[in-house]
Amino acid sequence: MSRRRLLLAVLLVGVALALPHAGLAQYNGGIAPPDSATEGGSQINDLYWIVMGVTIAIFLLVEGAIVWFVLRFRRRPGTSFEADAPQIHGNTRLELVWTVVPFLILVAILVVTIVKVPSVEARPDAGDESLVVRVAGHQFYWEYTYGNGVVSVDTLRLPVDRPVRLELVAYDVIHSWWVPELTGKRDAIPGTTNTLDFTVTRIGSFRGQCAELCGVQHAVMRTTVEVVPPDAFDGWLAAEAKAQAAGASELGRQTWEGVCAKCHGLDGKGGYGPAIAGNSLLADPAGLAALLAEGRDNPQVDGYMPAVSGSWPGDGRQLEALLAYIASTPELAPAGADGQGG
Amino acid sequence: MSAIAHGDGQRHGDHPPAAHASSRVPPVLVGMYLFIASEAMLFGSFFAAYFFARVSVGAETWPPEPFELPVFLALLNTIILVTSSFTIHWALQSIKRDDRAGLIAGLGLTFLLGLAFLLIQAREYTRLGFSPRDLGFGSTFYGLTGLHGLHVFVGLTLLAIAFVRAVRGHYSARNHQGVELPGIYWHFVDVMWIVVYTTVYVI
Amino acid sequence: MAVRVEEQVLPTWKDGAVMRWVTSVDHKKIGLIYIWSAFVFFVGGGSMALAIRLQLAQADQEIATQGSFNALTTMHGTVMVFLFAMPLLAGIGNYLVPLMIGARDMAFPRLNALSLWIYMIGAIVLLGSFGAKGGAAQAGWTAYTPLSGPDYAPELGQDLWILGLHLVGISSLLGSINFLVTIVNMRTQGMSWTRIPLFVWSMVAQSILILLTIPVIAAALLLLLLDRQAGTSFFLPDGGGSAVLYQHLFWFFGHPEVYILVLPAFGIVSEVIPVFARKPIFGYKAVAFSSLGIALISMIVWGHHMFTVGLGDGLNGFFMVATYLVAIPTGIKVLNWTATLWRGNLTFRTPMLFAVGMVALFLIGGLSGVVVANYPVDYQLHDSYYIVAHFHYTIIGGMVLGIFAGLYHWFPKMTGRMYDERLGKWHFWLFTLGFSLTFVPQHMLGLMGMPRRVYTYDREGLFEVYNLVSTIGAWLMALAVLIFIVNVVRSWRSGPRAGSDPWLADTLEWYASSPPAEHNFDSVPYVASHRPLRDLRRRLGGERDG
Repeated sequence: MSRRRLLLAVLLVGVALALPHAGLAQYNGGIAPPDSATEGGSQINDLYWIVMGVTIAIFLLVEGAIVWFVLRFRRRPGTSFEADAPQIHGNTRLELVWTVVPFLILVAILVVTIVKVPSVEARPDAGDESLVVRVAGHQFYWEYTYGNGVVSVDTLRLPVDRPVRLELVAYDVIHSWWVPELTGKRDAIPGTTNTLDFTVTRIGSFRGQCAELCGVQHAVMRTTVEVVPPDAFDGWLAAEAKAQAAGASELGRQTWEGVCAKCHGLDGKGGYGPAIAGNSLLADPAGLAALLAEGRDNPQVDGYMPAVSGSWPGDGRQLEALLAYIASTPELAPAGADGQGG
Repeated sequence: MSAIAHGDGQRHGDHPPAAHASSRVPPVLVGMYLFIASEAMLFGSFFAAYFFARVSVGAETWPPEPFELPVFLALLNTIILVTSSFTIHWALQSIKRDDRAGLIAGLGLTFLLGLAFLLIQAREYTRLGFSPRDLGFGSTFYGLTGLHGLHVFVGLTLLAIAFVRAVRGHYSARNHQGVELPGIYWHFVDVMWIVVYTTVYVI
Repeated sequence: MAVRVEEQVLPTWKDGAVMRWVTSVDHKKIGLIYIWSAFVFFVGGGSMALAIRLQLAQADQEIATQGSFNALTTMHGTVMVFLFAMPLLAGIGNYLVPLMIGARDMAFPRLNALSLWIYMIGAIVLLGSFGAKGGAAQAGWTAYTPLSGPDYAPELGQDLWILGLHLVGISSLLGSINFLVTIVNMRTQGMSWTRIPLFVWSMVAQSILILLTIPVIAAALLLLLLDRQAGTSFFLPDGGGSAVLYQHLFWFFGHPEVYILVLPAFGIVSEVIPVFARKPIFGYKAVAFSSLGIALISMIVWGHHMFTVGLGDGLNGFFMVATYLVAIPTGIKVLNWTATLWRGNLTFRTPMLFAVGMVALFLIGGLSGVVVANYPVDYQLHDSYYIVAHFHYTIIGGMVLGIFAGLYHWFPKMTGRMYDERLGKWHFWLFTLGFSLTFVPQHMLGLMGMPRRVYTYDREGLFEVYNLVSTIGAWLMALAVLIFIVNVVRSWRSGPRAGSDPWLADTLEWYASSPPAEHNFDSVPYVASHRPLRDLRRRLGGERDG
């Protein structure tokens, strides 16, 4: 059995294994980036298929030639190993052809790409205003800050059909914001601000995660983008601003789950980091604020706690929300503060 | 197949392998030039770091506000080092004429000039008023000049060895590779200084 | 047991056999030590890969997570690139280059031994980071700042990683100077630049790349070390440095590094295919000079590793164009190898299987490279499993298969014995099968949104299917390597005698005895073409071959 046929058999087995599973349609089976919910992302997918088309053609042509030569010119019975084949040293004209033709193919791909580039990351027309959201990458969560001061951890809510501009910054190491169903990724680098422009054209919920190795919990630095109708978005943003000002929002729970729980566990009983449930620091606003702002690096203990609150709003409402959430959660609150504590 | 006739060996026009046959430049010199090419890349990386700090991160003035560089002291150093390039050349020319006194004088002079350069630079370091920890500016300044200073030190070591061997009479008009090699290295160190000086102090 | 040890080990020490190897300056002994030790590291790095694949076989496993997972991926990459791939190529080059150009040894034999032992010390320092407090380095083989800086990787492991790489880099740099001087100065009579074997050409190109790019990574690592230990801020944004500068320096080395690994494998394949096709290489000059073309262009493409950094359309476009340019000399090679098969008298012994397999599988890596070099497309694929699949296709499909081709091809030369053909074929088929199973699904995983360097994933369905298939494939590759080891050990001890030129090959190394004498040759035929032994055979038996 030739290697080709074996490979084909293996691929068939793989496909057969994969077929009964759900999710095949959702991810295109992985043969292309997922169907994009933005114009720019769709342009990337188009480019992907153009380049794929060309490379598949070259693949079939060259692999075809290899397989054909291997089958056609293998040593015949009765021919000795050392028998000379025709001594062909080359063919300048042929070699010129297979230098120039790939060159022209690549030039063609380049021209198509350059023509498409402006629509891959279309900035809004003059007059149209983008919704600007500041995206801060932290070990190991994303903090989203809207123009009116509303903050959100790990969940980004966006309106459909309205241009969006993300301003990406990082407070510790390099992260990369990637939601495959929207568009390509962009790095968040400490010391610089990157932007990413897109317009979502489909209502839905999209998953993404950090794509640049950022430390021990890189794998769980995930994010969700909830895309809703524009009026629903405007309503939510206004309501959320009031709720956060009044300390009645979900921000405390979001902060616990996104910022603290990834290392200390949802129940605070420890995970990568030590158990903190019931720790008196959790009810000490000044002490907790200092810890979150500076992190902790104790040479006696392996690992360290990163500074995590660099992007938190200046009015202290995120810390208050976190303290309130901890106080209202019996298994987290320190004894004496509220409930029995852990 | 007339080429076979070139062979003079035992079997079928074979010959025993000839050593170092295929280049007119001696292996050690080829190796030295290659090494210098890699050294140039090392300096290039440090220059990249310097220009990155200066251009992309950049402050509005350069050097950034409170800092100043002793341009004229560095000019003095430049003159010293350029002079030393001539003295090492003189040393090599001398031994090619079998003039051992000239060789020893040239090497000694070069060594002293190099030492003077290093001492002046060390003095400069202590009085600059900023340290490698002061911003990208301090880091890259000490990075570039320090890397160069390190090369001067290596060059001085090579010169010292050559000097001792010269005094002991190891070199002659026919055998002076031990002077030529440090000489090439020293010229490289000089040229690099001119580039460092122009970059860091002048522009 | 103790008796056996005394009987078997002690006499070796007493005879001085061990010391003879340790103090040897013979390029063949040095080459073999490189090859053996690199192979030990290959098994070590491979074991790390197996652990990584076990962790990822299903979602939410707990075999190696968080820090230990990051240490595994970091050390797998570093060990495979710096302790396996580069030294193995240095070993093969060491063994073959002097023989192929008809020289007695390398130009600087003692420097050669120094390179070897610096590499050994570097390897010990690098692996010593596993024993450091806080464990091995965890910042990835790329060690991006600030993650590898003093604030986020304060552990000693990262420093040992840096020092180990410095030593290994110095070893490679000295080695490259040695190779270049050897090839420039020590070619035998008649061997002009268009008559040197293509493997030697590939070593020229590789050595130039090492010479010009290792200093840059050395600088980057030195500055990183200063940032960590001396309080400077070259790469630390907080102190006015630039995190992106590190990436520029790293990838200025990092991309040519890919060609440092794959060019000698190209050279090996260019030697093996003509021998088993009984034809000259199709277009000697094109194959030789495209190596140089690849080497030069590969030094201006580094930015394609940084498309998502935000360099802007101008720079991204430049690096895209440059990357497409490098595809052309690479494509030329693939087509020349394919054309060498045309009308050949092809015999599929194990070296030929690996060589043709390399051409077929490397092509996939090359073509997926054309996909990711397109920078808008790379916005999606960058840092995803697609990239992992792509570079494993170039490095395993390209380099490792090429190396196996070479090891089988020159096994009779190095040992004087023939390997076992049946085991060799099993090795090939199992290895390529396992390889395809491992890495084909990883393309899909990347396209579905799985980033690289994650220890778990939260999605079911296809994610788990592809990951499981990939893990199974990795273990098949391990099985194949086991077969290879059995083959080598058995054949080295008791394989049939091979004779000096079992393949009736064309290059000078086959003129020496197998294994060659300490001084290589008693005599060397005058070289009048790039196939001196074929000329010789025709001269001797002119009537028979016509």
